[in-house]
Amino acid sequence: PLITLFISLIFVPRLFKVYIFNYLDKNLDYFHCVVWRSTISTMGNMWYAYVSHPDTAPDFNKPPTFDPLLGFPNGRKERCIKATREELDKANIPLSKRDYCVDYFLELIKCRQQHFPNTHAQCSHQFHAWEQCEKEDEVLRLKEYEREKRLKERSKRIACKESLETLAE
Amino acid sequence: MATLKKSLSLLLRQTKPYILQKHTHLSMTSAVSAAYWNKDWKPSPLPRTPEERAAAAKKYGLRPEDYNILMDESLGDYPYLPATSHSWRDPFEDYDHPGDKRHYGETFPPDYELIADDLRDPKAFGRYTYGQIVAGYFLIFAGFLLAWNILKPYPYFLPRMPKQYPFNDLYLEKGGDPAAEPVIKHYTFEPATQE
Repeated sequence: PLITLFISLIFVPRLFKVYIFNYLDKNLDYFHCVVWRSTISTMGNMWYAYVSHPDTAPDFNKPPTFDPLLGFPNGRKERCIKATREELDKANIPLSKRDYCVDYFLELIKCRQQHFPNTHAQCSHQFHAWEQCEKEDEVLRLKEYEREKRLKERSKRIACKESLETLAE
Repeated sequence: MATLKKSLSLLLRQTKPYILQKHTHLSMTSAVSAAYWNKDWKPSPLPRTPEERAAAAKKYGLRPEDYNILMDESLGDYPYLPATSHSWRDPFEDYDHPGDKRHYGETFPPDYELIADDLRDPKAFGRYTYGQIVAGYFLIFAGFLLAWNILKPYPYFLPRMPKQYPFNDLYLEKGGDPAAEPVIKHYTFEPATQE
């Protein structure tokens, strides 16, 4: 009986491991969001947007309004993905995952299919690469917001100057 | 002689003055000593005749005119008693169970354990009236509703632009018209050409 007890203690958790890691895999994006969003600093942002500078605050629901190449003498690198539309349709990737990190996500999916159920240990590198890409994407969005904000302030300054000049004439 | 003295002193020590004093604040409430075992604690069937009523009242240490039946089948002939909390009982009485302010065999209402010194006192006068309590509740609720409605046009957001997607922001995937597909380009902040 002792031997059966030990054997059950060793092997019964392994049976449940499948379900546990399956659950974790289903909530991949959830963990990523919670960890990264908590690190974004929003200090004074609400005050700026609604109280002190409502005219120069960018609209966070709409894409940038200025020319994306304004102020870049050497141009900007265009964002692109390796995967084609047919590949993504074939892999049945949901629309929420079809962003500029979809290549990393495809690799992660392939790894998971290859190493199931031990995906958590085997695909940690792929998961980290995908997560890092998502984080950089988020940083880019923050930078775009800051650029939009500064360009709006600049255009307001220019307009103010022009109006002063017309008044002087 | 010495032994006699010692025995006398011991006898005197038996009758200490505080024992005499203790009799002054002895219990005035009636304690029933009719029950000693589980079958005695079990309530009897409902009394029908006046004699049965008198016997039941005596069993619970009550006067027959104070005895009212709860009319509950499961409680039998157990009497109805008004709910009083511990804080309304005499604190200077010499109780058998001082912590509970209770005598051995004393009759209590069936819901007695719901009312205690540190729990609800049904006869207490509260700090606020019932109307004030209800008004306060609705004021708090209305305050939350007001704040919700005032802050509706000012949503909380993170300082970032909307997420960028490939294939012209997934124009076709989201059910756009293929004939009028716009060309949307997204850029990183790295320079395209080196100097």
